[in-house]
Parts: sequence; C-alpha cells; structure tokens
Amino acid sequence: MADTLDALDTVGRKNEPAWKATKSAAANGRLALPRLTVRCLRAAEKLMDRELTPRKLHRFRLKTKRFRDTLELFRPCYGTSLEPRLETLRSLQEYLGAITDCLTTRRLLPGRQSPRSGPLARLVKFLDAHVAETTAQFLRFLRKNLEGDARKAWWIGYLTAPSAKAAKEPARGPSAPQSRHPRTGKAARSSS
Amino acid sequence: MQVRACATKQAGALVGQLAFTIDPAVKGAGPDSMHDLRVAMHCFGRCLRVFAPFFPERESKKIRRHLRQIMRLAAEVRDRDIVLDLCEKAGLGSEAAVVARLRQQREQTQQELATKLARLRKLDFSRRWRTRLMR
Repeated sequence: MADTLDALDTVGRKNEPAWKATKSAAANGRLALPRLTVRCLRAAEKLMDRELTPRKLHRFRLKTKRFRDTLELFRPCYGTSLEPRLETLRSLQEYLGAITDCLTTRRLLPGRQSPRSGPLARLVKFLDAHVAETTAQFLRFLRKNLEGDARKAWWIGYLTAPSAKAAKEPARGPSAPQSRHPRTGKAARSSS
Repeated sequence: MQVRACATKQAGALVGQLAFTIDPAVKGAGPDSMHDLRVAMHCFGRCLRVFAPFFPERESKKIRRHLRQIMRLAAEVRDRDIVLDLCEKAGLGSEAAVVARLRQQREQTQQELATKLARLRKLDFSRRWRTRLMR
C-alpha cells in the first residue's frame, strides 16, 4: 500500500489538480482525486505522529475542508456511494471546528489574559476543558477512520475505480459518524 | 459529461445556491443563516479555484475578490456568534460586560455586511456572474 501511495503522491503539492479537458469529468476525477486523498491521508498520519498544536490542527482543518469541497464537486460522477466518505470528512471537520471555536473564543476575549476569578475565568476553564475533550475525541476518530492500510484502500480503491463500479458499491462507511454536532449538540447537517 | 461542462454546471448551481442564502443574511437573521451564507460562498469560491482553467481568469479573479470581502465580514459575525454561544454554555449571562460588548460588535459588523450584500443583490450578481463565467 505504501508504494501505491508514493506513486500517487507525485503531482505538484500546492497546485490544484491539472485537468484533461478532452476527458470526462469522471475520468478526471479518477486521476486527480486519489492524489488529493493521498495528501490528506499523509497529513493525517503526520498529525498523529507529532505533538498537536493549534496551528497544526488549523492547517489540517483547512486541508480536509478543501479536500471535502473538491470531492463534493465530483458528487455527480460517483453518486450516493461517495456519501460515507464525505460523512467521514464531515465528522472530522466537526471536531476540528469545535476546537477552532474554542481557540477563536479565547482570541476574542479582552486582553487574552488568564483571569483567576469571575465570569471570564469560568469561561476560560470551560474552553480549556472543551478543547482537551474534543481533541481526544478527534484523535480517536482519526485513528479509527483514517489510519491503517484497509482504510487507505477504502478511499483510494474507491476513487480510482470506474464510476459505474463505484456507484454500485454498497454504502458501507467506516464506523457510524457522530450523529450529534460537537459544537451545537444538534444533529450534524450537510453543508451542501 | 466533459469536465468543462461539469465545471460550468457546478459553478452555475453554486451561484444559485449563494443567491438563495443572501436574503436571510441581508435581513439580519441569526447564526444559521450566517453559516449557510459562508458555506455557499466557500463552496462557490472553491469551485472557481478547482476548475480555474475553465473560467476566464480575469472574471474569476474579480468574483473571488468580491467573495473575499464578504467572507471577511461574515467571518467576523460568525466568530462573535460562536463566542456568544460558548459564553452561554459556560454560564455567562447577558449581563456580563464581555457578552454585551460582543453583541454590540456583532450587530455593527452584521450591518456592514448587510449593506454590502444588498449592494451585490441590487447588481443582480447571480445573473452577471453566471454570464461572465460562461464566456
């Protein structure tokens, strides 16, 4: 599996996919999307290997956001069988979003100080606890859904498969994603 | 479907989706409509970037500049919404000074955003942008 990943991760890192105008959208998707997936999976692996910092989490969040948005543009080519993959990314983003929300809140607090008492101290304590809890949940989710060769094959194999085959694949995803929004506590909703 | 046709179709659909989210945001509705506006803008912007070779570069750049300006304001409003929500969850009442200040900031930015969006709507942006991108 590692060799396959190496072979796929050859296109310019920061550029958007290079399209072949003479080919169909599905054929272009089969060429470009696995490469983007490899980059995303690699980023996830790196994140799990190293110490987590808000900056790293933020970068990973942007990466998965871009990846999911690009995948969504190819929804018509893959059909409903793409949904479990999108759902995985959506759940991942919910965790990362919840963490970012807490960090944003701290940034917006007056003086960014660490007050010892009063309502602000209560808020800061709440935020710190929430960040710690959500980060732990996020890492568990990441390990369960993006780590290991089987998971990689689930992504890459699907995206490189001819669209007809992909469309017929039963919609079996990884573990059922969180049905609750980690930020609002309401049922998570699709952004498209 | 050729990839060019797919790109144009997706861009058209996403402009339509964006137009649909503008009205509630202009009317100054709550956090949900702000979230929808941001998602619609983000998806459309992403489509322009991903399928950049299939759109006129100059027009695409102009549109993205518009999106960036609106996104900046919308992000400020959304940030305040999030903070206010977390303050509430942490048990901070509306009488807390920090909450009052954040509410005021949110209203000011929301006003600014609404003015910008109303101007954009008046220009019939969805028809214009579609035409420009199909050139």
